[in-house]
Amino acid sequence: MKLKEIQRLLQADLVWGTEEHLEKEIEAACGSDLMSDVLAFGRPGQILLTGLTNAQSVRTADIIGAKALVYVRGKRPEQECLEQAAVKGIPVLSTPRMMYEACGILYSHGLPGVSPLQDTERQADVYGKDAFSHSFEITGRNFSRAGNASTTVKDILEDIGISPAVIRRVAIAAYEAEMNVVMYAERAEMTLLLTPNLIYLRLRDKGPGIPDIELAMREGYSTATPEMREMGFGAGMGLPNIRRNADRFEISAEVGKGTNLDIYFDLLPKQEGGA
Amino acid sequence: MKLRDLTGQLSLNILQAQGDLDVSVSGGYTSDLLSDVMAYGKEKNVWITCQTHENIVAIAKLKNLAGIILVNSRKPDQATMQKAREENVVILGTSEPAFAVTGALYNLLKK
Repeated sequence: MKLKEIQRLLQADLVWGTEEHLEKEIEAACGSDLMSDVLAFGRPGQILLTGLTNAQSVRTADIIGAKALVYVRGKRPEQECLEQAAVKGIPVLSTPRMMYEACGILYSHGLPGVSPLQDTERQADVYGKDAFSHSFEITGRNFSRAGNASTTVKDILEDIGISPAVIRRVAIAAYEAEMNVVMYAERAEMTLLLTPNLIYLRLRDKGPGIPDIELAMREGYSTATPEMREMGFGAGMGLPNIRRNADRFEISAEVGKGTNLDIYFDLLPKQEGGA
Repeated sequence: MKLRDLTGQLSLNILQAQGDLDVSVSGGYTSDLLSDVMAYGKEKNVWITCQTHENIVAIAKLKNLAGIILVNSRKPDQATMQKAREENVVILGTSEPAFAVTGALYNLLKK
């Protein structure tokens, strides 16, 4: 289904985008206000329907490779959001329909939902490049800049020519890790290290640490405040999302001092019959 | 359509059955923002969400919703289950994403 047809069915305004964007073929849709949920289950080539109008909605759409963003119930995105969308080339629509109706109308016209993430996508490409590293400072509580480091990570990996499937996994893990710092810690350093067969994300934060890591790793467990939840985070999906996307994931913490994350992504294809 | 019939038609799992499965469903509301449901959810609506926090029960009770459908195989927290039993709020579950289950419900209720 073309984006133009979606626009017509939903009586949506094109808030940002061109005629060319409207000719894009859309394969599926995802409707959610929880960005961690989108990061866990979203797929490239879909449109993202959401009622969340802050900059995180655009960043999430960009990270999963969504082809368009549709705001429901007549919501208009914040200015910062539109600027982000323009930079990333993601068309933005706004429909007067509620989420329920918007999903219902598109589904009944044959647009499918998004099936849960499949492991076949986790095929890493071989590539040969020298080791490279880059560090980012992340500041706690700074929600307006939240997501900057992980989008830069994504841009770097794209420039280098890493396969989109791998970039997507790294970007999701980096983004969740960055949001955790912004929500809970004072500050952190995130380092991206690239070798010919490995991508390594290292996070060292200064913050409250985690008293019970096993509990924190459980899907759905969260200590988020209502404010964080209203921003589309804090559904207890962050750490499990990182683990799901990484080839290896290590976490350690000291209460009152900080949390360490070491996240690894293999770039060489797994051996036949291997794990 | 009764909540019970809708459960069968959409192949939903009943995660918490204490409550009224024979309530007549007035429509659906899909959102993960609690304040949004508080503002716009209508009486006897079925609420589709991936939120599992116990506050969803309070909202369902306050807005007199018909029930809650949790998507993407999300399971309610223990506190949520406990509260739902006390407050007679039916919780259903599906492995489908919100978009697909909303679409199917929309088609079903339109008939």
